[in-house]
Amino acid sequence: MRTYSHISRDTALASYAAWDQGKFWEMHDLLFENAPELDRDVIESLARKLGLDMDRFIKSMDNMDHLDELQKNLDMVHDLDVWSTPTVIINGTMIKGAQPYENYRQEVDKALKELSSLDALGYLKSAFLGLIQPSAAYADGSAFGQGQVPLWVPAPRMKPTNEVRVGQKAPDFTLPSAQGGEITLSDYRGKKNVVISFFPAAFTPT
Amino acid sequence: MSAYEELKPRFAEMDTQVLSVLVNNLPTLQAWSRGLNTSFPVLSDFWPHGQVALLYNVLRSEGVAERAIFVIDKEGIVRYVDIHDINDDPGMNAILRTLKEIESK
Repeated sequence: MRTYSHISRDTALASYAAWDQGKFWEMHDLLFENAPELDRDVIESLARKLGLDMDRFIKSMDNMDHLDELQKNLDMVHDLDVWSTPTVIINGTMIKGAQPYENYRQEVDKALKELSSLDALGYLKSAFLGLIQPSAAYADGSAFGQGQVPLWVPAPRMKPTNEVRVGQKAPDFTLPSAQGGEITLSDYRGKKNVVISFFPAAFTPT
Repeated sequence: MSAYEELKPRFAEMDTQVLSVLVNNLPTLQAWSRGLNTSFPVLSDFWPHGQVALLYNVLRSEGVAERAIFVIDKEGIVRYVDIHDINDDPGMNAILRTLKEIESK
């Protein structure tokens, strides 16, 4: 079992407790801002600052409600033999410590290239292992912090050549709209033609 | 984007929905589309990053999408594809021509 300081444990538990109330990242940021002076009193003052339900927060901390999840994360980190912060894993290649951008980019490019040459359906899985790693982030590929930023991302499955050609069925998708709600391509089936226009990125010349 | 807006009545006549897809996150797209005053849905393909762009094979390795247009008919069949020069404006004529073809069938 990996050891860790009580401060690390308490700050991790505090992050989980804040997560329960939809404020994981807010707590995360405050904890980093206030490190290294993070005793229980400071942690509670941060929770108060975030407007958390304090009874619920304190109960979660006192009962160590999330200790099991924390332990699972630590076990996973241990299994992966991860000892540096940050450690990034891209398709099985581990990049230890903070490295130049180019190193990450190379690995991602390599992973993408391997993916597009795969015969079968493939996955790009990247795990971001930092100080805190809630288990739900990798358990089902879903987001944590109340649906905001997933840490473990199963990328879309790719076929060997997935060029979309004239005469083919358009791949279906659902995406959130800036005007609110979600749009699903197949909802227009039988009703409307659709023009899908990809732009490189916002704030680039249109 | 503004070209689509100008042609809004034409698209309506031709039973056509325009969807813009960008790899940026929602707040960015909200700020961006507000500035452009667009009435068509602006969709965020941010996370997992560029998954729809990947699905259509138009995600570049630097993380942005190609300037690409797909016209899809009511049966969900792709009728026109243009992976355009990223620095060039693809214009509207080819899209309108495709829609007319679809209409005439």
